[in-house]
Formats: sequence, structure tokens, C-alpha cells
Amino acid sequence: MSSTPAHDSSSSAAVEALKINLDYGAGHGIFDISFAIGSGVTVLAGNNGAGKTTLMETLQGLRNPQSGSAQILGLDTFRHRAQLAVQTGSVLQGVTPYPTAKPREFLAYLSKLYPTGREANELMNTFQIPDRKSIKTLSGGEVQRLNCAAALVGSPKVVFLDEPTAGLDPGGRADLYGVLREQALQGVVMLITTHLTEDIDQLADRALVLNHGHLTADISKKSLASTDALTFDCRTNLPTEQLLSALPLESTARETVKGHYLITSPSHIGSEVIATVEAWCAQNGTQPQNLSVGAETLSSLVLAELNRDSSQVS
Amino acid sequence: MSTNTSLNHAMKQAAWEFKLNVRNGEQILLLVVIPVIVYFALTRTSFIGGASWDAHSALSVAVTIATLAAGFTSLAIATAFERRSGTLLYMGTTPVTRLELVLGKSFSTFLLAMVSSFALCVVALITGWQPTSKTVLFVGVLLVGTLSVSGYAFLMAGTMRAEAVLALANGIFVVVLMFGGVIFQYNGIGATIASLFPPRALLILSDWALGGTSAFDSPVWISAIVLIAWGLLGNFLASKFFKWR
Repeated sequence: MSSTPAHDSSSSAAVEALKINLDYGAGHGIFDISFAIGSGVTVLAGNNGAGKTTLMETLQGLRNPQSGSAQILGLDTFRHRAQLAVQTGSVLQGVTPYPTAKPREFLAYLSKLYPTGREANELMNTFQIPDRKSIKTLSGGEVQRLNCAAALVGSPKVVFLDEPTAGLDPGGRADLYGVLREQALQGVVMLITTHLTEDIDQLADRALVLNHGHLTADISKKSLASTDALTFDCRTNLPTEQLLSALPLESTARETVKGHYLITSPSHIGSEVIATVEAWCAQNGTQPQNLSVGAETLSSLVLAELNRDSSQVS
Repeated sequence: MSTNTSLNHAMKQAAWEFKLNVRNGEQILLLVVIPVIVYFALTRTSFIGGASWDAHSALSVAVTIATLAAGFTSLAIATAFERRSGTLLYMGTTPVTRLELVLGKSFSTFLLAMVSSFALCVVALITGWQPTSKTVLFVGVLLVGTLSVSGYAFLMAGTMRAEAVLALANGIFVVVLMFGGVIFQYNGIGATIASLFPPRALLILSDWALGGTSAFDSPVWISAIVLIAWGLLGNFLASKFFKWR
């Protein structure tokens, strides 16, 4: 379930943010961000302008925070950049490095820079990158696959992927999920930003939610195991508190996106709960549509967090 | 990071940049074709100075143009577009440090100037130029000449939009050719003032190293100091103001 972001400073974290602040003014930036990632795939979710890219780049030492610090594999990002560079990989948002280079030679060059560089040919095959005359002649999806291949060329322990599935068609996304899951199984720690709920459900073990530069939720997939969820559509802005009072104890009820509601419950959601929802809708002069019961997903909780009124963020 | 590793990264980066540059048709035009045209224009016509130039003097002018093209115009434009595409930022996530990246670029630029100068020397040899014992020192002249202007290329590329750099770097190159005391020579105070700037100072040093017979009114050692001073200032300013994104 959703919880207040916690920071476990005693853990041997792969990635650790310690009270990071980078204020651009007018409410933009990232504020007092602390978290620790030990293993697996963590998704950094947030609306446009929430500060995801700023946070990703700050963690990698590409932006200087006004206060706070970041550590990767126990080393300070800024002081040990050279040591960390050989153990990390990165996809930067909207960046196409060396557009005039050939894809294969670009990967081959990068491979030479790492002590444990992977073969360019192997990566070209794994990511199905065509060997064109230059990177600038690749399609958007092919460039994105090349960027992902480049992030993994140095056999990294930690990978930062900023919108890695942007521009990929469904088939390309599915292939990338496979490759990234395989890397995760081999122990590579990943921090990924995304807008796609599919990415969250397919890849993430954990989601960190950024809202207007504040870390507002830290949700683990493990916490979903015993939770049932009911989703439905109906008129927006209905009083969910009224519904909540009629539901079993420890249930939650919220409007995740306009007109889309999510009910979660630690106990089984059956016909009684559905009847309660229908009665509540009727009481408010509407009817529920697209009722669906199933296990609660990480993305549904992330969406719920993202839809929280920004005024709740102090 | 050890000095060996740093040097290793810088050399790899230089080789990579060099490989990308020599494949670029515009670079070949700028670094070889234009200087060769200038060389033949000077030695085979009397458009400039009222008579055709001797091979030594024409070669000095052509290599000066090639070095300025590599060390300033070409470097500024390429770096500015790499900054725009995010390449520079991306390299910040690889084991290549920023200093190694700059060193790699500078060395690649020096190699480009070497290659274009070598091509010009071959053309000049065929058409009558005779090297002297001092010619081996020309490698050092090229190095100092490249570094004297590369800082300003980085300064422009790191502070201006790529399109503005494209226009301005080409514009400055043309202005230098026309008014820098390289092709069109000055006399008196005009020559003295021009000698205090990298283009003419590089011409004087190149002419000396290539065994030219031109009589310049500024001593060679002053030209060397002029180039070093401009180089230190340019690289200092670039290190202060260069923005990576």
C-alpha cells in the first residue's frame, strides 16, 4: 500500500538520496528528497514537470543540488564520479549521442571505455538495432533501443533509465521489458522513470511517486499481494468519504483519474462491496460503469497518488 | 582515476572524434579543399599582391588557414551541435571525465590540423616547396596554434546556441581570412596590431618553421608568446563559462 516515503540509512543501498534540494523557483525543482534503493527495479513516477528528470540527473551527478547528497553503491555521486561511471549505465531523456556515428561503432567505442565492456554485436542483436549508416537515420524507437543498449554496454551494477520506453511500439516495449527483466534477475539495480502504467506493472518492484518535486509515496509491489481492488467509472467528484464509511475496515476509496475510481480492501471484494458501490452511486444520481474486480496493481496505486490534490503537498 | 587511465581515455576520445570528423565532407572542405584552393590561388595567380607568391609563403598562409579552420571553426561548430544533441551531457555518464573529453577534442583537433597541413605540404612539395631543418618544429607550431584558438571555440560552443555558433564561427573565419593579416598583408602599425592576434602570429611562426622568406616586422618569439597568451586566456575563459547543457 501507499505510504509516506521512508529512508533506511542503515541499509547497504545501491542508490541513496539524502535530503536532496534543488529549487528552480516558482515551485519548480525537487525538495527534501530522501530514499534508498537496495535492489530490483524501482519506477520513479510523476506527472510532467514533477521533477523526475531533475532527480535522475542529480542522482547521477549531472546536476548539483543546493543541499543534500546522493550516493551510488555507497559512494558519493559527486566525489566519486569516475569510480561510479564504470559501474553505472544511463539513458538520458531526449538525448541522441553522436548522431553522425554508426550505431555499431558507437557501441564498440563505448565498450572500450569500460573494464567489462560488452560486445557491440551482442547488444546490436539483443536490442535488434539495424546497422545503418548513421544514428540519425534510425527511427525514434530504434534510437531508444540503442540508448538502452548503450546503458548496458559496461555491464553496470546500477542503471538509470529516463523514459526508456518513449517512442517504442508495443512489440518494442515487450522486447525491452524482457531484456530489462533479465538484467534485473542478474542483480542489476534499476531506477526508471515512465509515464506508462504498463511499464510500472511489467517492470517495477517498487514505485516512488513524485508530486510537484516532493516524494509523496513509496509503494512496494510486495504490499499488493493480499489486497483486492475494484475499479469502476462514473461521474467525477463524488464524495468518496461517504462510500468509505460503508466499506469494510481498512478499505480505501479514491478517484484515481477523473471519473475513474479505485476501491481497495485487505479482505475479498465480493458482491456485498459491489452492491455498496452501486447503492452509493445511485445515492449520488449516477451508475457505475466498467466494474472490474482483481488484484490491486502497482500502477493503480501510483495513479491514485498522482491524482491527489497538489494542495496536499506542503 | 590515475594519470594513465585519464590519458588512455583522452586518447580513445581523440581517436573517436578524429574518426567522426574525417568522415564529414564539410570538414574536408574546410580543412583541405579551401586551403589547397588558397594555396593555388596564391602561387598561380596575381590576384593578391600583384604577383604570384612563392611556394613557402603560400604554404604558410594555407596551413595557417587550415589550422584556424580546425582549431576554431570546425571545433566550435561540432562541439556546439554535440552540446545541443545532449552528446556532451551523455558523455558525463560514461567513464570519460569532462577534462578527458576536452583533452580528447583538443588532441583530435590537433590531429586534424596535422593531417590537413600534411596534405598541403605534399601539394607544396610537388609544386616546388623545399623543407628545411626547421620544418620539424612545425609540429610544435601547429600544437601551439591549435591551442591558441581552441579555447575560444569551446567558449562559443559552451555559451551560445548551435545555430548562432554555426553562423558566427564561419563569419569570424571569413573575417580573419580577409582582415586578419593572413592573406592580405598590412604594413606599419596595421601589421604590428595584426601580429598581436592569433591568425597573423600563427602565420609568422608557420612561415618561420616552413622556411619562408617573408619579412615580417614582428619577431618569431613574440608571435610564440602571443599565441600562448591567447591560448591561456581562451582556455581559462572556456573553463569558467562553458555550459555542458
